[in-house]
Amino acid sequence: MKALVKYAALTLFAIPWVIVPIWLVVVNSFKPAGEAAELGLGLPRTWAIAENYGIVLDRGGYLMGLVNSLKVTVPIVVAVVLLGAAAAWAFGRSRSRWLQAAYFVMGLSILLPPSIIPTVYLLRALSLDGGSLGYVLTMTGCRLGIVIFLATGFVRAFPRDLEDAAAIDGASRPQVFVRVLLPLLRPVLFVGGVILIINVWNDFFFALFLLQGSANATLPLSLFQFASGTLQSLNWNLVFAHVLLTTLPLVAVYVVAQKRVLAGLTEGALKG
Amino acid sequence: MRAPSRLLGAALGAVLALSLSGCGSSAPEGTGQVKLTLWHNSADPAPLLEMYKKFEKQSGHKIELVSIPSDGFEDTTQTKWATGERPDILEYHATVSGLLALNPAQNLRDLTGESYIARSGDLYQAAGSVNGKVYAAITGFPQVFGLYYNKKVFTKAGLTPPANFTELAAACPKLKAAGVTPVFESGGSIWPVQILPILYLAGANQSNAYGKAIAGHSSTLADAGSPFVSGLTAYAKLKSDGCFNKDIVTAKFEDSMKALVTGEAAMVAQHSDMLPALLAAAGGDQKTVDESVGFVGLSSDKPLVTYAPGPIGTFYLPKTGDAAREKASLDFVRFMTGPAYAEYITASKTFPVFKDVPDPQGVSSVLQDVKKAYDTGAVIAFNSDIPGMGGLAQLMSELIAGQKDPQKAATQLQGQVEQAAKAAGLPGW
Amino acid sequence: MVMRNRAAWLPWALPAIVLVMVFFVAPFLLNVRFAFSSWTSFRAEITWNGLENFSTLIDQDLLANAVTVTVVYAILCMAIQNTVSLSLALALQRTSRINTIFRSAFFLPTLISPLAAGYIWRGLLAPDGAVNSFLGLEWAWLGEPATALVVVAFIDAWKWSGLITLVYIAGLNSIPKSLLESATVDGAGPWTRFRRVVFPMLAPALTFNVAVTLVGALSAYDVIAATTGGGPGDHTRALNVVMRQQWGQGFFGSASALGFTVTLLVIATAVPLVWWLRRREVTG
Repeated sequence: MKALVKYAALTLFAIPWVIVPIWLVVVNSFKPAGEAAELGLGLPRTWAIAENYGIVLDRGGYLMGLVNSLKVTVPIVVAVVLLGAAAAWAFGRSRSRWLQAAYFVMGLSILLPPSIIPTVYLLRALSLDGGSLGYVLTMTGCRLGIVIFLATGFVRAFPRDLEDAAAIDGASRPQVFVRVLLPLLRPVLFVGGVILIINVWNDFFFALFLLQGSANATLPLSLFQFASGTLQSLNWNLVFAHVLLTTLPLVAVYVVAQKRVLAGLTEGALKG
Repeated sequence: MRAPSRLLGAALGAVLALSLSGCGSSAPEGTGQVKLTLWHNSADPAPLLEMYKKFEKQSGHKIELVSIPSDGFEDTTQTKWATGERPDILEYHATVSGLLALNPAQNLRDLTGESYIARSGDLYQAAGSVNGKVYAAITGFPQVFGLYYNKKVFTKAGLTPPANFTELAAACPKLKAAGVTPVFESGGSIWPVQILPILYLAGANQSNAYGKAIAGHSSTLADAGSPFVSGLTAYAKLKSDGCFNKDIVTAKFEDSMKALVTGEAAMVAQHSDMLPALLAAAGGDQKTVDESVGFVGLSSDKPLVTYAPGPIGTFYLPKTGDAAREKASLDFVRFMTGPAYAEYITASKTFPVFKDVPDPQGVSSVLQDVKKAYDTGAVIAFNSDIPGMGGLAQLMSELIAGQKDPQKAATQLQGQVEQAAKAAGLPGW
Repeated sequence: MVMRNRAAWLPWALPAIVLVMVFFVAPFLLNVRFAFSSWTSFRAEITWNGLENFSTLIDQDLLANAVTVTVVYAILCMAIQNTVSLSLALALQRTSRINTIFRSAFFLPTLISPLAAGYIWRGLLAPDGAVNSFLGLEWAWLGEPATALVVVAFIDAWKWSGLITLVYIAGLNSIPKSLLESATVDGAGPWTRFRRVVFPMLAPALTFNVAVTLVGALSAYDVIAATTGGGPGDHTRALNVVMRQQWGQGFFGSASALGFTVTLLVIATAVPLVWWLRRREVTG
């Protein structure tokens, strides 16, 4: 009985919290412009799925945005996870004072907000401004800290016996890294990777300042440009179709991996 | 044992390859044919976009269009500009204040010798030039600011459109009694709420007198009883008299166009480049627009329209240091101002800026109204020559929200003007 | 043995150190310089000008308001987010099939970009939108000074609460069962158990979440840009919004000064956090 009340309450809460917002986006993206302007929750009186999504794919720069988003997200995530794990290994095992000082700086980089305007200046000085390479490097530099911090804690908690045993077996250090370290760090790297993907895929602030030109625009940027262009901003049907398409890739990945994501986040590395 | 580390190598290689592929800027293709980057306003009308295509066809060069949303157009352009990124061709405001912020002497190519300038009358006296040097190629008829009004609503209420702010204030209660919103203001788009005060100041700004006085620091916006303070006071009065729509804070300018066409609202203060948006609000039906919408000028006391050379069709050539591309971009300007211009005027049904090009046929009646009002008395927008006026619209939002009174808003804006004028090194500051 | 060689560790950390130094630390230091420099689009030179950027911002009534808005916004975000997330975590703590479904559903908003979240709620909260028609109101949630900031903070909280919930669940699950059992044996009811056992044991997760949400919200930009753009008036004009505006008008020095102010606010919040983390490292 008590459980029944609880789940009834949870369901009642989930309706405005999750279901209505998603329903609003989906159903209005199927309506023609005039009908969507009412922002109602009813089913479309006229269906305009093909038209709306056609326009978003054609004029909204969606496909280019998708390619660009992949082109920055994949390198950032791979670089942060691999370089972060390698650095965490060094920070966890070395007693060098220099490295410990560097570790402290890494810790600071988690807390302090990145300075976006000097970053623009710096990238310009390095001739890296406007393009995706400068963006990838900046995001990598600004997000490494958190993965390093989480993973170093993990490395320190493990005894080094396994590594020593592998070394005695004649394994080179890269081999130990791949065979011993990466498997040990998998839970924490997985959690870091998940949060990173959500972060990078949805990033708007950095992209707004660092990525120039529609040729480099990631999905959030192309959504913004599409939604604030003159004749589209009132067309809720198109804005919502773009929102749906922009969110879809992440949701699709999530649906496939949700068990691991939820388990990883609740039982994995973020303890306390 | 080996396999995993090879895998790691492959993964790292992939990272490198992927990140490098991101920076591939394409090299010139073929013989003398280059790719030009053009930053353009997303509100460019179709005939203008068509001209870009025609240039590509005729010259063999390629134009890569970078579309800047017209909401926040100035912000976005300046931000990109600030990062040091330069297009080959920049579509931007021709006003002196807009131009100053681009640091023209250092960043823009001097176009003073080009032949189109002599064909433009004294347009470049007031726009597109700094210190006697012309940097702009203005191909669009200036934006003409005034009041769009719904003819049917006025006829039904037995009123004539107002010619000054006193008449505007007087028409207000009558229109309200007739059940329509007298003036529709769109604070959700932020920039449109500065139009009414600018219109008000046309009276004081004949021959750009007021703008020059402020820019030259011989008077300030915040002087007691200054035209600017009176303008804001008149605006605040309209607000407190309930002349504006209830959703003034959230409404977008597209809402205002729709309200005007449907007759929900009697008047909207806007400019002539918004005609395509007006047409869109009418579902693309020119007849509806012509039948229901008219245009008049007004100021504090006289029936004047205000004009400002707009960003649409105004081109600059930033210095890029690439000889081939700089030659091609100059060709672009010559193309836009050359023989093809007459076709553009015919297709776009707008008025030409060059004296030797005839007016187009079959111009919509609203646009004829605009031209008529422009020909009878047009004054340049008072803020055209004053740097640092970008904050006007934001301050208007605060005025509307009741956070600032007119005097305080004027004082604050004067501070922003000072900040910019000093930064720009204007004489008198 | 090779593994104990000190110098040999450097190459492993070097790529990460270089990236963080060049793309995080260097801009951070440059920001300190730019915040006290005259740097505008009107001129090419950058020159020291002391506190002039700050005094200009103060003269224009921009700084004090932006700091107030930012701090209030951060506190609102933190409060809403943690209340919702902790409640959900308590309800969904046990790992069961049905709880997993709910956890999964409540996690969905986390996947949506803040920008998109802003558009969605702008639609829901429009004067003629679904929320008003359900409540029978005609209230411009995002256009009225009384509600705009709270509503924007709510949207931010909505977007992140799914993730924070999971952190709380992790915290709850790390509480030893024996403690709860012995409390029950001692005759403690559910409320007493929560107050005496669960809440104190949850302190690390709580502190972590409070700090993370506060620090994150101090850098707020996306949701505000997508909903109010800083309005009505300047009621939601947070520091980063003013920074973007100053930057857009070509006042780069003033924009840096605003960025620096965000940094100062974060330090004021983060120093206690670091202190707490260090203490935990010592005791744990």
